[in-house]
Amino acid sequence: MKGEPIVILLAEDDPAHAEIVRRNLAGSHVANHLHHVTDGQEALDYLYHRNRYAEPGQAPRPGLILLDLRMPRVDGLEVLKVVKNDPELMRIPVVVLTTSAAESDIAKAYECHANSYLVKPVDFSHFVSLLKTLGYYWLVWNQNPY
Amino acid sequence: MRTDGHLLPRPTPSPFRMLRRALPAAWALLGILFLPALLPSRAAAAPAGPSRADVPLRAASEYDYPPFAVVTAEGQADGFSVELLRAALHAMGRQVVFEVGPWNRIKDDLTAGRIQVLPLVGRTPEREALYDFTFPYLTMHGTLIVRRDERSIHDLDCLRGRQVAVMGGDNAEEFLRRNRIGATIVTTETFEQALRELAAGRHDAVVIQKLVALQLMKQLGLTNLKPVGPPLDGFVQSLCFAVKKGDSALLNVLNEGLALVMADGTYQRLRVKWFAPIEAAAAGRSRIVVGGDNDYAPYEYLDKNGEPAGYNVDLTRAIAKQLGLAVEIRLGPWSRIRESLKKGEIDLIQGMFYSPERDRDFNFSPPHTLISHVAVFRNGTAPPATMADLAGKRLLVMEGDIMHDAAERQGYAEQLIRVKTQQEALRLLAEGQGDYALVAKVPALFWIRAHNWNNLTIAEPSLLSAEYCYATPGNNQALLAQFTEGLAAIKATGEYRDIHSRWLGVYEAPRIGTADILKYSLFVAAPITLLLFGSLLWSRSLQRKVRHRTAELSREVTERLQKEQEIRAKNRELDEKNAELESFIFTVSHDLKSPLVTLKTFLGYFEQDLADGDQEKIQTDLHYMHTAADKMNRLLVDLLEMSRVGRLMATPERVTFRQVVDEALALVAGSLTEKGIRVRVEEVCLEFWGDRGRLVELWQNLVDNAVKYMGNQPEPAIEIGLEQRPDGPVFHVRDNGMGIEPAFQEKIFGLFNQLDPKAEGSGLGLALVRKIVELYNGKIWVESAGLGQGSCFRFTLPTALMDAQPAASTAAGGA
Repeated sequence: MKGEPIVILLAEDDPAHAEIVRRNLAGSHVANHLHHVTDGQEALDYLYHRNRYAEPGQAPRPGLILLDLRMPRVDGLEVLKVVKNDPELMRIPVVVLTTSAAESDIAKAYECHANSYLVKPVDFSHFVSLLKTLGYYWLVWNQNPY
Repeated sequence: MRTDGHLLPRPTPSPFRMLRRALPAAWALLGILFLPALLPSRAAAAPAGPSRADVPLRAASEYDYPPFAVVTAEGQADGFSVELLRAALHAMGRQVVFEVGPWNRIKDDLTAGRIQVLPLVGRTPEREALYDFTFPYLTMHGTLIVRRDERSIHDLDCLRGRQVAVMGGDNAEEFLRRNRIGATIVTTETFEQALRELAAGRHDAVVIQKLVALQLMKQLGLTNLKPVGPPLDGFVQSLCFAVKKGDSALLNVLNEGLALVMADGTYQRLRVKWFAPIEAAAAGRSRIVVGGDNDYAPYEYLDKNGEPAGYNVDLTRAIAKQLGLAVEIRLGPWSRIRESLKKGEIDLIQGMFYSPERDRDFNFSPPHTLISHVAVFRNGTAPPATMADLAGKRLLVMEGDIMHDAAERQGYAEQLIRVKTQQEALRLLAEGQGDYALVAKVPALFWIRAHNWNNLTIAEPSLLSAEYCYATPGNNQALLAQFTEGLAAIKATGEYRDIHSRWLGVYEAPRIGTADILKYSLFVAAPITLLLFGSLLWSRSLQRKVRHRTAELSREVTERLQKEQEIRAKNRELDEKNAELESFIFTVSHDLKSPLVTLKTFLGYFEQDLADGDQEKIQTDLHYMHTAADKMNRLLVDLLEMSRVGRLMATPERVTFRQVVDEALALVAGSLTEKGIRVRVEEVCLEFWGDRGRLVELWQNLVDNAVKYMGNQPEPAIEIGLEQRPDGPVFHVRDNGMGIEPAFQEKIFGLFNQLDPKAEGSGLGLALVRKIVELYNGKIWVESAGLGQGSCFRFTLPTALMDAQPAASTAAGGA
């Protein structure tokens, strides 16, 4: 494990949900830096250093992408496809974090090589425990490819 | 004979005649025709299929479905269908035994395999699952029954607004309801009841299978009813033999047997035997009425007692006896008899000369007799050799007789002395009037002998040989075919010869040589002719059937293709709907669950923060919860609204473009004023015919959308108007706001596809707009050069437009 904080890219259009993720990861005692984008277009801008992320050093490469599926303009699935088809980005673990438990969504996400698929639980304690586990699993236990 | 060609020009020789001329070829044809007919019966005699040919087949028949299935006094099955099945199997060398029982039991007997065949089953799709059917041997058409004094009902179309009775649940009821004829339909327990009530003056008509109606009317004595109109094509029942599903060996035997009995005349014989009395009864007669001349001895005339007598009369009686038919022979003046035939009071004429002209109006049997027509002259006059020799002479003819026609055709009309009968013609000649009487040879001999007119002589050879035939009006070929067959039968039994010699023998001098040879060759030729005629009838009926089937099939194919196209279109539509539904489920699973997750989670935080007493966090928690609850509410309201569009439409009304736009602007006036947006509305004279509320909603949402995405425009403006294009007006709502990147210009119309998560609303507005536009068969699209360039929403509303022409002139109006 490295000492520097892990950058997490959170693509989430719902500010409330983003807040929930932020609160939990902040309390997870894992050194990390959460960057929140509100739609798929912005996520891609971040990853490719375009538009408002054009200046160098502004968008450090994330160690984990938390991706909502249903987002304005470019949705999560499209972001996933782009990331997993780009040799530069394909190794970044992408965790889908969505409210949809639809079978077709789950199938499509894995077909596009999502690394994990998590459904936001409606229950508070479940959601909190999911995010805590997620933090430990991906940020502590999981061996990232670099 | 040279004159023959002039006398009887045959511009349109009947096929029968052409065949007769081509006798050698006909022999070959006979061989071809009969060979296949003979072969299968032999083949069938060998054991074929699972049931052995020497064991009688077991069949069962119903108690009471006259005339198809009846039970004799001895308890035996009888009826048309029963006899037909027996005959069909006999033709295949098979025997059959019948038991009788109620329909419900015997049909179960077949499915259970206790019997092997049912003679009378109407083919329906439901039954096809249980049985296999032969080709239908009879198709019954429905008909309209009305009271005899009814004049205003001729066909189905006349029933609009009238009252029609049918048996409840019968095909007839389904047929009526399917066709929506606009009549009041009254259902009765039985058809008997329906007909009785109709006869008693209730209802205007009954729709029923024609044969069933005729039978019931006869049975119930309902004499004041009659069938009218053409057969109801959509209301048919096909009667078949049925075997247990999968018994294809027996089915093949039955189909072949049925084809054989249809070809060899058995089918026709049975049909006439069982149906003719009913059909005759329907015409108000209890028997088949045969008409003839009352003064054409010795062929047909009234004897001293006023009773029909003569060669034709005996012939008809013998044939009727052979066929088991009840006939009534009605003789009268020739012109009146022909009139009666036209009116349908007579079914059949027993003696009519064939001519190509008459062939157009009547069906002729093969001739039962050839009658020589001759010129009769007073002794001392020169006998004419040909028709040409009659030029300039005064000629006595019977009015309407074939010699009358022949003389007129020859151009002798001026020379004719027309009389009522042949006897009269001869009497006048004997008394010294005219030069020649043109009459039939045998009647001439008869009268000359009877009256002892010794001054008259018959000229040899005859001028014209005419074929004396049975004839029916054009629509009754079945009966004629029957008599043709009966004639062949009595020739075979020798009865024909007896009758011939009894009546005509005395007039035929016992001459040796040509006459005998002629007679002999006639004797040979006649049966061949008959066979040929029979086979011709058969092939013609087959041709007709093939034509009919081909037409049916091509109709079916066309219909099927149409149906397939419809199905494909529906499938496409369904696929689209499915995609829409999928996206809807997606929306619901995500967008509705999303605020719920927020609510529950912040409720959890709220509890924690309450325990910690962290006021600032408590405020944040509450804010998120409020926002989530609001969002949820908005989504639910919008979803409901979305489902209402298209489902709930108000009655269309006339409303002007200006009214719609003004109402829409009034609804968004608040935000327009708040943001200081200028609105220009083009002056347009245009009327809509549609749901006023939806149309207002359309413009309201577009203006609303423009307001929402105005951005930081210092001089915000919206322009509403239309443009005339060749296909009709194209409406627009233009703004100078944020604009839309080309990549997202289609996406914005999707359900809940908001481009800017921070914008107000649920993302439903434009989806709703598109749905309304599509309800009026229109299209909507957006034009925008990109971000910061403003947007222009354009759309069409073809089916909401009235005919009014817009007179466009622009005027500015502030909001």
